[in-house]
Amino acid sequence: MAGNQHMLRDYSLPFAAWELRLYLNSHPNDRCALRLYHQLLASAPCATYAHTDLNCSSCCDQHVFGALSHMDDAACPCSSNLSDLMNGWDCACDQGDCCPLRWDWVEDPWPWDGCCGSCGN
Amino acid sequence: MWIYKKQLQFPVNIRETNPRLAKAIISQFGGPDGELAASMRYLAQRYHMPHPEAKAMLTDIGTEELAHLEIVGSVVRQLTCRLTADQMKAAGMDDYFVDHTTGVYLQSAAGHPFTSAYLQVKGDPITDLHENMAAEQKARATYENILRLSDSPDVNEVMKFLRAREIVHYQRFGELLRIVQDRLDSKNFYAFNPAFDQ
Repeated sequence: MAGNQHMLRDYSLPFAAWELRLYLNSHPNDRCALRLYHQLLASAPCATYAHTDLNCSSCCDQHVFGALSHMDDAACPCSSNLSDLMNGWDCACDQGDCCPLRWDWVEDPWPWDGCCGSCGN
Repeated sequence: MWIYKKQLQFPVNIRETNPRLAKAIISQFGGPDGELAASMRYLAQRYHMPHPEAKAMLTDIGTEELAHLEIVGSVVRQLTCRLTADQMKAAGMDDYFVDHTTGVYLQSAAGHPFTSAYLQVKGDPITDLHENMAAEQKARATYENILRLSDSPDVNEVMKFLRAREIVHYQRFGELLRIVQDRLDSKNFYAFNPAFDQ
């Protein structure tokens, strides 16, 4: 079990969050996916690569056990159907203001666009 | 800007020494359809992309390809880190050894050094996204060829993960292509570069 928890914390949860990031890049208005992404972040603060907090390993341990209890109840964490996957998870976004309406990672400007819209599209 | 995470995206723990297999797998390090070519292709194509979804996707997939480069390098390293001179000669790896010892060099399976000629930045988003979809298919086929050559369960687990990522990236690039095409000017649908003809 310790091995499974290690895999979940270090590989499975970060991977699930990363996979959702790619999906959200082409579906930035999919609130269902956005909620699941934020749920994963709440379960594993180390789960993202781009928003990484490099010093969060201790709080990660604490959160990952919460995530484990959710996963035990999940109908099928391996489901390819996002809706089925969502059924196994609480919605962190209903509890506060944490979940934006849109995946804002895709918003302009990007660093190479320069200031003042010099090369913006 | 990038931040490094001191962890592989997928664990690599290979118990055997197999220089012949390492020589095949190194093609995904610095070969024509390898992970470095993939990463550089996507990160270089970001600059002319007109839509924020495309900028985000190329940034993130280009970053993930760097993580895959690290995975492939780890596989090659672990397949050769206990290599003896006899094993090296028996596997026909002496030509590699004379130039690189057991270092991990950016080259194809046939020994060609990495070159940016492996990739294109056309400056036309539709052309470039088609190239990227083809690149993901070529990488998938390469991983399948490696799986045909390998009988190592430790290696195969890693190759299967990387193969699956090519399929997901192909899907995401297809969605980007749809987004870019949907936003074309209908009056210029057949001859219109949304990165240039504005």
